[in-house]
Amino acid sequence: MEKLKKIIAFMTICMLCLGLPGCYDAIEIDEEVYALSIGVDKGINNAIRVTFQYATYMEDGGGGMGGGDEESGEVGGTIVSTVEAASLLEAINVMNAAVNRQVSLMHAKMLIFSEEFAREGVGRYIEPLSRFREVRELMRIVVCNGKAQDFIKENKSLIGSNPSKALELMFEQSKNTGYFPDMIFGDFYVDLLTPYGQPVAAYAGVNDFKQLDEGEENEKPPLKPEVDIEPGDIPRTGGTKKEIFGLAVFDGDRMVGTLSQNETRFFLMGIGEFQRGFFTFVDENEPELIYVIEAQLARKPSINARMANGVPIIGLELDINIDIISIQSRRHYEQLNNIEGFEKNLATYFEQGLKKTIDKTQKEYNADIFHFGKKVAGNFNTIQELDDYNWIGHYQEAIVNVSVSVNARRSGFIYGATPIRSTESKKGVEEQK
Amino acid sequence: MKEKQKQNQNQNQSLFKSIISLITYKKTKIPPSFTLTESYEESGQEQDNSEQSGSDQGEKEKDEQNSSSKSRRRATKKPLSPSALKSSRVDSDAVKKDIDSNKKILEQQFHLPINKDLIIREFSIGNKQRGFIAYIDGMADKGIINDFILRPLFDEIDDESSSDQQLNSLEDIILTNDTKNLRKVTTTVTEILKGNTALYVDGLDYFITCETIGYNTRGVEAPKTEGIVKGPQEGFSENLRTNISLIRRIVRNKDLITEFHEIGEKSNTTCAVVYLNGVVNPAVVQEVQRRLKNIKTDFLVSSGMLEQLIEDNPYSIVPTILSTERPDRTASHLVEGRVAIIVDGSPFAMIVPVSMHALMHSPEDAALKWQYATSIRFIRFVAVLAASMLPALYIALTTFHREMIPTDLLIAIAKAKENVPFPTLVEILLMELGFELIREAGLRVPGIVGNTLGIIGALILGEAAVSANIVSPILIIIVAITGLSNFAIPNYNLAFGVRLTRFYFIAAGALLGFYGISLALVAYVLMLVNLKSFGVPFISIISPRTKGSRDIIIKWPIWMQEYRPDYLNSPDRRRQPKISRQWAEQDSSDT
Repeated sequence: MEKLKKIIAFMTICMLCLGLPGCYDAIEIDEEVYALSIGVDKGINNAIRVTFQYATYMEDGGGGMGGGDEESGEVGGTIVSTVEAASLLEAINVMNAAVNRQVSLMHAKMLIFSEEFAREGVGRYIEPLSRFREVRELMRIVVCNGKAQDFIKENKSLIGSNPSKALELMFEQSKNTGYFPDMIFGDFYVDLLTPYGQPVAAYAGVNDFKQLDEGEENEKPPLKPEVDIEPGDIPRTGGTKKEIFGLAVFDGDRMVGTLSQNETRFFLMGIGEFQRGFFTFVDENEPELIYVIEAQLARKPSINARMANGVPIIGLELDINIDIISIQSRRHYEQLNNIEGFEKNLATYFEQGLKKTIDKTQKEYNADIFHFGKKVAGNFNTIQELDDYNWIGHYQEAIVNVSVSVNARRSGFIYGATPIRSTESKKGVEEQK
Repeated sequence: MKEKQKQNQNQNQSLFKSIISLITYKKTKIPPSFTLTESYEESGQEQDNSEQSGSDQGEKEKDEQNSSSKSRRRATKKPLSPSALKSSRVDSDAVKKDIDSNKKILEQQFHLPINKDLIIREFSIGNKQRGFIAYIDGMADKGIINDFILRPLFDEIDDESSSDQQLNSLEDIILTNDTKNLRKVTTTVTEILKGNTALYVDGLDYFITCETIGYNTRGVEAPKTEGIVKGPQEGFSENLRTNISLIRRIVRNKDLITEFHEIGEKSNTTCAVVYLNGVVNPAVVQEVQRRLKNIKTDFLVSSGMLEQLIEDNPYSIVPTILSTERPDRTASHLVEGRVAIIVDGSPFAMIVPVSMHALMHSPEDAALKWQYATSIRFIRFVAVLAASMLPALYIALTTFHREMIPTDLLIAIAKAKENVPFPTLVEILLMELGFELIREAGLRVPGIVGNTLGIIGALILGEAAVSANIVSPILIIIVAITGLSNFAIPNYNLAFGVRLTRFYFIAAGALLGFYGISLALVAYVLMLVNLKSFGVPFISIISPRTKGSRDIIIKWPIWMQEYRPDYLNSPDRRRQPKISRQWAEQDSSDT
């Protein structure tokens, strides 16, 4: 009995001791608001203007479709509010006063800079974020060609009432199209510091829905399979106004230029992160018609680099698998005797595209966003030598050879299409044979 | 002055010493506990057996000595051997040679004028020799007494033969199946208490007891707490003899041994120790005997009480003895090399030694195909985890580790919690309390109403609590899953332990988050590692690492289970030959 008493006393003391250090940093879920996106613009009266978007805890009301109330900044189940402050984290504290709850960055999904701000350099403002305990590495980095504040105001979900899901799925689309990179904060920060290459960020804009020309209908609309479009200029209407299209190229922490959505696809192929996407080509044999293929990387690209007389020579080999999606002319390109020529055409196209894109990053921006530096570094014996050489500065001198091999894997549900028959079609059938 | 200084110094030193002694290692004063030692080869089996029988004999002798000297305290049911009789001194316990004093002794023992239970019927044989029978009304079968004790006696009286012959053949006259000659009053009293009838004829120095036990008992019914779908539907009842016969019907083996022990000074409850000789490790049997013999208590009514008296560590929160009410389960454990202890009047058999895994097995496992049995076993392990930790994890996640919750879920939880005025901890404790109330009340509420009350109570309470914004709906899910998981644990005692453990983890999680839960878990595992069940480490297989019997967590096909569990150190390790399905190797056309 004595022993039991002692044990109980000891345990009680232990539990009480636990109570002293514990509990104090326990915060209930609803005592915080979770910023989903953070926008950074240049300030007017102070250094920066930070826009927060955080979810509300209303019972399905308020949010939804409405678009909300201008003054309170309600946007589809979230609230957008902007504050001007000297630093990003100070802005959070200022926000606390307004929101009446602690603003937490634990679940921030998107960090968006205005282009104006990015061109001046983001390093100063990124640093505290990478140091701060709450920011997670999976936050996406976006540069907006307008104001970040405007982009976040348009960041609403029209399909469901769940803003965080909408945000996550928006970036998932990078996998389905390849039109923009899915760049996360952790990688972006590492890329800022690495001697091997330069960072990129997704490039976004706000569409005012005025790009669809309402003029006279053309007798024969021109066929433009490859048009470079800026974000915000996509000819469309309906849906949300925000768009992510293309990427922003950085030299260090300063934005130096952009790549269009088509160039972004070649960039993603070059770094091996292109998942899938449709490509449209003009049929060589019938220039009014097109064919569409879906391309996928068969494997990660193989990159090798060597130094010849102080000039880095880089070889980039790509292996692309394609599925035939549509052949408007119904010609039998998928048949064995035709397939080789077909694949060769495509290979040439991808090679040229890649070359052009690499050329642009070399000549225009001198920014190794492909991270060829990783392979080039293998040619130096010590890190000191590599540092002395300064690969990032020498990128534009490098000679990059690209070779692409294309394999058609699937022809879809149709093999050897029969031409469409009409009263006039007999001639066509004979021609095919 | 100097002396004072010295004294001070001495005092300081002694204080210092006592402080040091608080933190230095000292050997514990607890006597060494029983540990089942490793028996290496099957060749050691015979040796073990001979040792066992030798020690058994020694035990017996000691027992007899004890019974002669301390027989006032404890009654032996074995008749004394003639040699023992000679050596024993004549004491007050011995049966007198004249009928009047013997009758008086019995009357005294049973407080006769007041107590109405004992019936003493006197008669005289051939008008010369007086005699009487004594039995307890209600415990003995009167038909047996009339037809097979009294009638033969009176028939004999008609026969007019010499009294000497009669005396010699008294046992031959009585027609009951079992008779004993008892020279002690205490043992006779015990026999009478069991429901047997004592017969005394003037001039003898012993009582003859005849088996006439015949009281009403519950019949064999389906088990109440261990119901299964596939498999036998018999459960133990309150009658010890019936229970043992139920086991014997499954294990038809001459080596199945049943020993009896009497426990309880006031209640004199019979406890049976059942084991399969040659399969069980003799050391375990000896340890069980030792513990049962050395229990001094006055009252024992259920196996649950005995369990508390013989378990290794009374402070442990998990049970180290498996109780089951299924004869088939008991039998399968006996064949694996364990010992079963059955208390008269209690429909549960206690099985020792067990490891934690045995507590997690359900009797249905044996009857199911191994794939099914394994998958439901995994469910049960998940259930134990959920029942003990789910509320703690929820509280740790929501108050300390909000970054680990997917954003959508986080916002959903926050939305649900927005109007709830309590912190999560209070919410959880409220709901747990409600749930425990419903469970406890459901037990008391009579009959059919009980079940409905459980369901309706939970539904209404939960629904009302949510709509009154007292708890958040997600919490109802958590508590419901926890409660369900608790019911999925197959052992009633273990389920109780897990219920208590839950609150321990809730406290740890609420104080220090995942860090606290991990600390609590470490402490808990330390406790588990420390536990022993009759000399076998409670979590053997895991620690210490022993060879599995292929029926521990994953239940392998039955033909793969070639060995008994390693930790039982059975002298007969192998259960079946390497190839059990020998037909599979034969050509089916050969007959």
